[in-house]
Amino acid sequence: MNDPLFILLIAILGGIGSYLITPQIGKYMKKRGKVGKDVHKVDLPEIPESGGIGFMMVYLIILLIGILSSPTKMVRYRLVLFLVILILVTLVGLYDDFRKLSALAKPGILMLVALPVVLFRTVEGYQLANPRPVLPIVGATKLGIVYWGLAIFVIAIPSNASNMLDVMNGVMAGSGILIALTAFTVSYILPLTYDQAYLCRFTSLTLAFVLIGFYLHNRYPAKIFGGDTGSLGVGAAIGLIAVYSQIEFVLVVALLVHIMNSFSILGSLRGLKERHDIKARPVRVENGIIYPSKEDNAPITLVRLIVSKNPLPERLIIKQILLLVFYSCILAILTAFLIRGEIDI
Amino acid sequence: MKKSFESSPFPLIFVLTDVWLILLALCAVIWKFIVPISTVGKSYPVVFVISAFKVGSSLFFILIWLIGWYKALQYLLAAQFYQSLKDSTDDKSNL
Repeated sequence: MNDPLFILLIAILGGIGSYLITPQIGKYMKKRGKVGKDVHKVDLPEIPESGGIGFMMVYLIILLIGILSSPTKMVRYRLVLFLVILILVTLVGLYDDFRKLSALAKPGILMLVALPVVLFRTVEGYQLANPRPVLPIVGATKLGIVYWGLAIFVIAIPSNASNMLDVMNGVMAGSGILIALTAFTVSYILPLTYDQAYLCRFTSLTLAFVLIGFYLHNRYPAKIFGGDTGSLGVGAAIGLIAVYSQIEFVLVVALLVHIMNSFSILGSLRGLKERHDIKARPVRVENGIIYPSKEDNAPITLVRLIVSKNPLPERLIIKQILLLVFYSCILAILTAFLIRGEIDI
Repeated sequence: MKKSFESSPFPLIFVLTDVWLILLALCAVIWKFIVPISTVGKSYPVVFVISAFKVGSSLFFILIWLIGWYKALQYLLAAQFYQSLKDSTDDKSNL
């Protein structure tokens, strides 16, 4: 079957699967008492958590189908690594959802999970990850050992960034959809190799569709939360798409809002802190309206920045965050046009 | 009556655009000053030192970029608070 049609078909089926499985996961979590209060609503409704398990399961099955139907050995090997790493990230997310990992343990474990990217950089003579990220103006760089040093952060940084931005209904899924569609678009702008382009299109379009299936339940007002399984999984998938499609720089630009949020939180807290160690909350909620904290020691989060001038209801804050992510995705596409011609195939 | 809210993401869009442009400018600086430093024909220890310098200086630029970004956000937060305080003071004096 024609590649684009096959990918689209799998993506649509994945989207339907994710849409159908999510309410079932919600019912199961509610029965197990795995619920959390939606603190931004007036009546503080109890919402089932860890709904990300549903779409991650569907996505992992899609990756398996991708391995079985991959057009080349290179794509197959890359997808196998993609699948193995995502299974590990999903397990880390599940553990974090049910048992809780400390603020330091989570990124530490995610760095270990990324080790297969470095250890299996070459398999049977196939260079699976290329240590030559392409930058605008500079062109293809030769980072060598530095690249492998940075590669261990390829899961930890986007996963934690996605996790830190998962603060309101539909933000994690909505931003994940936008970034995945950006990666898909970029695969048509940059002169990628056939293997890179196929992998990029397959993994990004299917990710976007399974997230759409979940988003329909998670959007404001949410009927289910994604939990750490969902947010860590989406971040890890974006990181892996970046490395195995050689579009690292473009996806860094698409993740600017996530990086801005994480970096300002870490900067204002002066490092990773446990939730109970954070004395001041970044915002307070009164009758469904979100007000910024005026305490100096409160973390600077994206939501606090957005409401710093005018307090807003959750619905409008979500709209602004997604608008910002959409804008960073446009910057990413512009960056891809700047990079175009710099990749040597 | 339903309360209407004023919402504008423009200050953050401005910060994002600045950050992106500075990132591109950093690429230009690396291309102009760091990429041309050649290691051809040098002994291994010298190649190692030069390569470490090239990577180190690039990382230094990235660190400066991140710190500048954080400072811009702190400034924006302070400016927005000041503006909101000023607006509420003006509202009270108009009553």
